[in-house]
Amino acid sequence: MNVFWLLPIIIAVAGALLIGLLGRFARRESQGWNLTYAIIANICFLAMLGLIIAFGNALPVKSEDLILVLGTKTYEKGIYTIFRLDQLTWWFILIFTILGSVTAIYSIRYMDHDDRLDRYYLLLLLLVAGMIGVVMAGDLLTLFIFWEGMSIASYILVSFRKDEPEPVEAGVKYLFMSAFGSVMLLFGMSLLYGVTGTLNIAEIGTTLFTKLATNGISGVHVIIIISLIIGFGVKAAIVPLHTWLPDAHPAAPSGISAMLSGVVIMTGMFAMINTLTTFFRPSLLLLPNLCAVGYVLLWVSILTMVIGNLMALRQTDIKRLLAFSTVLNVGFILFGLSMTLTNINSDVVTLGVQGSYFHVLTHALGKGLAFLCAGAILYRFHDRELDKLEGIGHKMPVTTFAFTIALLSLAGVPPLPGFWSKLNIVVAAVSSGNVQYYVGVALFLLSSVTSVVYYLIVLQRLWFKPAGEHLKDVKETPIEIIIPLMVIVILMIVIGVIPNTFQNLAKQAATALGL
Amino acid sequence: MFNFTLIISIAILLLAPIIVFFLGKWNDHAAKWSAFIFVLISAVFFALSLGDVLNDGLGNIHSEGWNKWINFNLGSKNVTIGFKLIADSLSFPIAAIIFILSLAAVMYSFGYMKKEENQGAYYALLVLYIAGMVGVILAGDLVQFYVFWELMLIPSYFIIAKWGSKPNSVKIAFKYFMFTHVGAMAILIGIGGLWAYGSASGSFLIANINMTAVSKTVTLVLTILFLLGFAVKMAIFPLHSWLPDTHGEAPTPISAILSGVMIETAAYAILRICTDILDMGSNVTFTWVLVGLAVFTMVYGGIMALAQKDTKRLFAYSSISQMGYIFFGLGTFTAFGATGSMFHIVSHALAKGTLFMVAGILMTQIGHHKGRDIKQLGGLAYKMPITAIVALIAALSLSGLPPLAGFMSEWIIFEGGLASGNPLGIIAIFMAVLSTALTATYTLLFMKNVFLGPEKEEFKDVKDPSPYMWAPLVVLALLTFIIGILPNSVLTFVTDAVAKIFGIT
Repeated sequence: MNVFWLLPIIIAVAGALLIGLLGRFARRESQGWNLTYAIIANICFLAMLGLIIAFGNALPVKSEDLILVLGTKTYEKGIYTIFRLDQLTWWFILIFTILGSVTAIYSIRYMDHDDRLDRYYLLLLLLVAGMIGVVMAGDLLTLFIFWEGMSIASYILVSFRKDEPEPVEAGVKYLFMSAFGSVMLLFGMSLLYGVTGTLNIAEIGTTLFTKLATNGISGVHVIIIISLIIGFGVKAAIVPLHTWLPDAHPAAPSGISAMLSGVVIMTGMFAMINTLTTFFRPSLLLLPNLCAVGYVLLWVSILTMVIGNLMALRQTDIKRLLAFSTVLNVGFILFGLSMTLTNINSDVVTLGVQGSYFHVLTHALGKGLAFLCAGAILYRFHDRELDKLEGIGHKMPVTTFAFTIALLSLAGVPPLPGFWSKLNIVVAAVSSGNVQYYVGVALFLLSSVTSVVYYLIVLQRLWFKPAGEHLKDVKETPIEIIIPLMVIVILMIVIGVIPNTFQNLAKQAATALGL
Repeated sequence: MFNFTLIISIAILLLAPIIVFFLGKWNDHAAKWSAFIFVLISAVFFALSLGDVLNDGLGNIHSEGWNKWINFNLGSKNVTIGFKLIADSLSFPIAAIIFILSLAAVMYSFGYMKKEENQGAYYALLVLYIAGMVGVILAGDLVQFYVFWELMLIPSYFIIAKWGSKPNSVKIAFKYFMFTHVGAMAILIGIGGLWAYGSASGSFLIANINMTAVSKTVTLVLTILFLLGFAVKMAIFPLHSWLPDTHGEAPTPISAILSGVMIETAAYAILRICTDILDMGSNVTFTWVLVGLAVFTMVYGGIMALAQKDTKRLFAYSSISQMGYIFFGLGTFTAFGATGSMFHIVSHALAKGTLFMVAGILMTQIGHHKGRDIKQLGGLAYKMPITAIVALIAALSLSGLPPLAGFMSEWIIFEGGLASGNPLGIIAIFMAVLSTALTATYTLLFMKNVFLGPEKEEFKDVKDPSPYMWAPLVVLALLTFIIGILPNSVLTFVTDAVAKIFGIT
């Protein structure tokens, strides 16, 4: 075990503990210490980001460096912790940390009306530590522990403003649904342990393969698949398990909304596809029936797009609209990833997965930026109703410009990054040679066009309506909030102009999935 | 010979908006002059490639850029998206007319947009818009083509929504965006199909796509997809309904660009993609459907134009009618027709650009609403002689009066209709000539109602506008003359390119 590779998690947890302790001592005069907490959290994030970028040259890390043996026995099934750090996990960790760092900078000014900020930064660090852990976990127990750590941090962050009814209600709803998901997950994991006798994800894959090859598929496997899809699917907000999302994401403080919509749901997506692929993809050739899983996921993804779009069209609350647009993008990502569980040519599958992984990045940036901009507007004008925000572009041109870039990228307008990732998925679907994907890609493009309608309606209401009397005192966002927004804007333009560099990283990630 | 003139030209257009915008924060004059100068420099760099286009031998492609902008693996077949700019005898004249009309529109904006707010943003978006159009014409790669195609849409959407005539500009811009974007999706699927069936190496470069071995059904489906997208842009009936609104309500310099060159980019693209790559002329029944649509569009646009009381909407419907001519020429799939269409792009750009700008002059000199209402105008020729003369030249060119440019191009298009050898061609020609008569009617009625007739007391203080507004028009009118007298200046390029596409050596 080489602890060096776990440093990002350790830094996050250590920073969280430090903030917690400081907060404990300084409880009575909490306002004055807010900046201290923010600085500690920011330093932690920058250190993590630097480390992770540095890791990029050392991939993949040898697996023996990442096994932590508990107890005296060198090897015993089930009693050890194993991590995984290769191009795939690195790609996700990178996305998480980039958005986390930006959120941390953003929160310095954005959260200055709140108190109890020690808890806010503590939970933010734990949230990111949990996400990194989920992605890096190489065995189911570790995965579940980090999964719950991440979930608990996110419940509390959603209802962070506990004096208002909406966040508390949304947080409780999120808690119930997510807890249900976790129970399903635990159920599926225990069945897996019962079937294979190990918790190591890679070993489960090989064991299941031999078992499936000799005995064929049975009811327990079906239950495992269903419980994994439901368990991870609640967090990933695939329809019909998405109902918590449009409540929870708008209710959270905007930085947290950006994290939740941009990256937290992607942990669910990552874990679902990663486990399902490792467990069942090797058996696909032997058992063609298993392909049904892939096609079910395909149609679920289409359903997700359609529902997300239809609901987003009728929203008048700007953050709820963005939340439903997240549901839409979950559909886009699942569309590409569903190919892993079908019998399509594996080159095409790699391309589709690459597109989806690239879309994870572009969506994280686009949606993250959109939520941060919505937050910046809320910071100056405390209302989320679009009717009242009409014409705010005249008052806050820089923020609205960043918002425009974010929405145009989400709409898939070239040459912004959202276009390249969607193009990538579309190319994969077009070359799949499968009728269901041909139909699917038409619906995919139709959804993409439909989404342009509401993005554009938002934009034209913000820019082109005359600013009402109630907006006359609204000023441009403070510079501390503009800076993180511009960081993402510049990053997006860079990705849009040289997509190849980032697509290659996504490609390495897709290759590392081991198809 | 490899050089970077085209790349520099596009790069200037893509980067200039940032500078123009920030200069506009400081001073409106700085913004407008910097926009003009940047477009001018870019045009000069573009013009430098003329030598290469001619030296390489007419019809040869002079291209520069990178083969691999984006590249990802797909087993044995790569997915390669290049960034190539092509100047050949087809794209050179079209891009040149875009630069000419854009420069005229930028200078015209000096006067027209004088009182508007946020001029920095306006000029920045305008330059970006020009970049989109030039990029579409010069694109040598299908995805790059699509990128510029959308880049053409976004800035124009924002300009129309922000600076268009109130109160409907936002709704109209939205309509424009959705029509064009849905059309663009059809194009994107078509591009995917071209790549999947026609590109053996997995490259999206137009030069690498070969559809000769592909079944006719696939070609037909792809052609229809492309034509859907392009017909929206060209406003061919029944996909035309966005055009009268958009062109009528956009700020006038933008209307001039929209009607003058933007919608014609689709005609260019039809020749490049549908005729050249997909070879859609081989399906005779299908081409006659297209000709039918084109003729209907011509007559419909002409009749609707007759009924308009608003100058800008009149010219907008006239554009629909003229797009019918161009579509007719392309739809015949003869070398004559295609040559005429490409030529008509040039002559229509000059004439319609001028006429829209004349309408804009009436709006600034008389009043935003009153200056558009044909019924209230009259006798202005005595008050604004320069405008009147320029308008007359453009109107005559549009109605196909020799020796102006419009005559040459329409005549060649009709030759194409005859040369196609289909008996239906005769009927089509009849209808087309009829619609030329319609064109003459509505343009001359416009001249009569607006500029001729008795002088009106209420217009006694009306004058010609400032030189910034009439100078570009005079240049465009002169070009109409010159091209009409020396049609070879355009035809040298166009006939050669068309001959190559149709395989006539």
